[in-house]
Amino acid sequence: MTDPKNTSVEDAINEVSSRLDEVGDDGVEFSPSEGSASEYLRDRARHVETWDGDNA
Amino acid sequence: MDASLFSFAPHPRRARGLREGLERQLCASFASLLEAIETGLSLEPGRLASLAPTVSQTSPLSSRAYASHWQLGRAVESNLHDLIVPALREMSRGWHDRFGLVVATHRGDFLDHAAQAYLDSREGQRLRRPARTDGSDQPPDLRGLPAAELSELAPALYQAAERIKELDPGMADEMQEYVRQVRLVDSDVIGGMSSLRFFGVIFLSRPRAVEANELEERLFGGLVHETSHLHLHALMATDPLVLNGDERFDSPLRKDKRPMLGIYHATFVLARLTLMFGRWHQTDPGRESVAQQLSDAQTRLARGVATIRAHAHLTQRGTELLNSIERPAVL
Repeated sequence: MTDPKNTSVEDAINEVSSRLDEVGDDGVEFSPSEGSASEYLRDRARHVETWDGDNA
Repeated sequence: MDASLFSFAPHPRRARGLREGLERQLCASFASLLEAIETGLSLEPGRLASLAPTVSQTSPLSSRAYASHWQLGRAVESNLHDLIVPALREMSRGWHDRFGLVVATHRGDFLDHAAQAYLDSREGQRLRRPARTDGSDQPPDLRGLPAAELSELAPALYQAAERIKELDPGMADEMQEYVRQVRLVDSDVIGGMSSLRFFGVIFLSRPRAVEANELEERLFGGLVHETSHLHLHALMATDPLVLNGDERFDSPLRKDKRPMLGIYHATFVLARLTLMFGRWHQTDPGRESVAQQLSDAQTRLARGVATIRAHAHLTQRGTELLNSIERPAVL
């Protein structure tokens, strides 16, 4: 993977992990974008298609 | 936009553009989720840019990219902090898969957990069998197959894939573009399973012993079925097709009632099954199990179309696609 800031992927993940530990469970709320392709995709991914085979 | 996109019949060289369009949306969505995490944690803007997947001209986006996206989306939407780092770690294992069909089984990895998480959800619980009366524990919903059994089933699955290629190059093209891995599982809960949340992997329940004499037909049907779901997901990235909410209706494929989106998916799949088993039947009219599968798909298809006609709120493209299914040659 390319890394525009010369920091490793592992470093970036570790920084996220450390910040999550610092702020604790109630210390942060994320604000996902709404009305976007992101929201649309996430909504569609709620659906899982299954079928019952011979039991239908 | 090419109107022929919204015809139910497979068409060669149509799937690549749809897959790449879906992948561009997923990458943009992933970037927006990482940005939300950066903002929420007061990280330097662009700090997580190295984790954002990108579309490749030569390789499809990996199933783990979709599964990581789903988990990261849940984490950000619901502030489920514990899900974030595992999703990022899974993402860091690779953005892309190789083309080609791999036969595998349940092994308890990130993708299997994504599938099981659905079965554990309130919606997934609707599929569960009644609790056992003898007090014994229910077996796991998705179970891996022994290596020896997988080795026996794999040739039949590749044979089914070859049959698809012979009968419809467009369907084979879709399978090539959308399906990276088939996980054959032992399950009392599902016959098959696919989703945008783990796009690229399809789960198929091992055909029962009594069906051994029609193994290829079962696997053929499973491949056509799940590939068609993935195609419809890719198509729905260009147009929502179905505008109904959560109200539920009788399903042509399941005992429980389903939202219209699920009815539309099932009906689309049944149109594909009718087409493909119909072609097989034409080439081998004496093969009884193919005739049975064709008849079953036709019956269920008519049921699904009737439910959509009566209750669906569709976009113009959604109606166009439905109309293509209702041609006399199909129903």
